[in-house]
Amino acid sequence: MTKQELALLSAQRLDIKPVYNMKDDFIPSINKSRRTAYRYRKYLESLGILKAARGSFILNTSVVAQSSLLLPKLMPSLDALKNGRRFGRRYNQADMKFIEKQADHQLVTLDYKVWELTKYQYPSDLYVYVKDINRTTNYLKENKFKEGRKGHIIILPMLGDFTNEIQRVYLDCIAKGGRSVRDAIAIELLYGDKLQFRGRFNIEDIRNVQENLRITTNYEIPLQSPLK
Amino acid sequence: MKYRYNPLLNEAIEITKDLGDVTFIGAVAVFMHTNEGRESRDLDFGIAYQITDEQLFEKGYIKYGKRKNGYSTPRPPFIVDIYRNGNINGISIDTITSTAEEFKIDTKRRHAVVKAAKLEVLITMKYRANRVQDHEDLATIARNRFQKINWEYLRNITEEIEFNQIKSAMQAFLKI
Repeated sequence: MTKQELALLSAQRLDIKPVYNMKDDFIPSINKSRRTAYRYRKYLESLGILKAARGSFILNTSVVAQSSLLLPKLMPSLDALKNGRRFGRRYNQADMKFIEKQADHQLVTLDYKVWELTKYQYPSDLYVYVKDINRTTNYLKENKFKEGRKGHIIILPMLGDFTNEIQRVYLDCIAKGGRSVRDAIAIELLYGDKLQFRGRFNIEDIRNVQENLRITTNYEIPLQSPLK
Repeated sequence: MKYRYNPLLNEAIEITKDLGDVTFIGAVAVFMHTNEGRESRDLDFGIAYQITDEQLFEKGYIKYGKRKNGYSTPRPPFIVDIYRNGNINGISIDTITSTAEEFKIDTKRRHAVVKAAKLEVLITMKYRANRVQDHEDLATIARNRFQKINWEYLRNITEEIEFNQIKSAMQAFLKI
């Protein structure tokens, strides 16, 4: 087993928690030296599935839970999200409208795209892939957009494969984690036939999304649904 | 706070008009406190007074399926989970409703007051629920309302160990 695989395995062994502590959670769980634990952490951080600050870190558990076969497929999405840049000007709907009309975006993904596809969860942030991230971000700055943590426009570099748009959006949802995992489930339930690669999800989440879709969108589970 | 457009907020206003003293929890409460967040068309709230299924039916809230607290609303496709007694993640409905905060909605089209779970109660419920979406909500709260958290109140509604865990989690979310 490679060191990278060991690092992923060690992350898979952790119980689900909002925030982990190196000393109390990670080091005892892997049963290795402190130095090895920090090396694993650094590797997971480089993948974009762990964010650390001093002795604490948060882990994207939805990515960690995926099979080793799916992980390489998630890498472009993880890379894009890691290098995404967040902007805001009025911090409301007007920012979205500006982007939709003005920027040379190639593909909308996550919140807004999933809403268009599934009508499951209301969108909040506008994630857009652009060919030239510097050109677009400079353009936004020229138009009084500010970069920071609170904006609702996220500009993503086009990394990886975009030939199957639904597949890409689905992988982006898994890579983002959090509430987007339920978006991925909704996509799989409604567009399973368009997906070549599928993720692993918590059964409770699947049931919840299924029930919600059935009531709110009159969705019927297809006979061949992989999640049935 | 000047709220962003959110269909869930409109529905929360309508539900408050229909049923009176209700306290929103979950994603609507996160939105009320932070002006951020996402949710499906499924709203959760507690009711401060006794109301039967028949009385809810008369107001257009109809019990459906096997879901214990699930009701359809007079405005489909919105659905709701109504909590009338017991507790949610160890916090009683009485506590949730009696400590609720009022939020004034004042937009061009809407003027209303909506109640949502008190910030510290919401944080505790989210921390105990411990699902990936709850982690995301806690991060959103830390990013937007960290300075407003009343740590003394939070200490009073939790055990010492849990309080320390919540505080360090919120501090970490703020830094990361």
